[in-house]
Amino acid sequence: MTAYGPAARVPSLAAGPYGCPQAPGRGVSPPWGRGKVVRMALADVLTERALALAGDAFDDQAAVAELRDLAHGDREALDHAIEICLVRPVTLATRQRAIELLANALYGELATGFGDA
Amino acid sequence: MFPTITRPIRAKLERPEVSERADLRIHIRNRLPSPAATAVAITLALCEVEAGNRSAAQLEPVFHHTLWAAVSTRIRRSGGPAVTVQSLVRVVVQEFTPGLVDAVVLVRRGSRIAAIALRLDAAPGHWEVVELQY
Repeated sequence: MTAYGPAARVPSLAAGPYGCPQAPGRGVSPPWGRGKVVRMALADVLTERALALAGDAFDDQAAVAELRDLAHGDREALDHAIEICLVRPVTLATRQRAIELLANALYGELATGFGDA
Repeated sequence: MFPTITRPIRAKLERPEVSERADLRIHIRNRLPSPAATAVAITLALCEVEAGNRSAAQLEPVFHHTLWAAVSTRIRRSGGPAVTVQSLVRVVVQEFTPGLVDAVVLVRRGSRIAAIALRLDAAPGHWEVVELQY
């Protein structure tokens, strides 16, 4: 009966490899060299979002509004994101649409029709 | 949601032509003009054709013949927004391989900015459009 006492069932978390914070490679923490957190510049964030929207977004106006909101008025970041877009290894079609969305967020407002002068 | 990316219009290059172009590209590249200026000229000409101010036949020499067969049916000949001196907004060019250029030209069409993407390949004496997306 003494072998099934509470002290035997629950290991002490303070002792052994279960301490907090866990050392790299111990317990559930990732080993060294894996699982990094990298800080992205706003231009990179805008680029990634524009490329994602280029493939998924149905409504151009909503996509442009989202990018404009994400930029928080930082026109320089939008400007830089346009150049980064062309460097990314995706299809020309995706880059074209991503740049179009970013350019509309940066330079102008979206019209309802394509052919209006 | 449905993806709205239109399919690009590409030139259909046969295998011997692909290798021949790859061999010639590097040697021809240095004798060609700026790809950015060429991309702008082609794009504005395309917009002028759509506005009804230019004949579509003037564009034919700069397109690969297989691409032109697909493009000529798609370009409208009138009714597009007029092209003015303020139409060109920006041009972004990337040359991953010498002689093979990806260019995106931003053009103001009404209150909207339209992006026209071109892939330019170095041909003897001029840049040739081998892919178009607009």
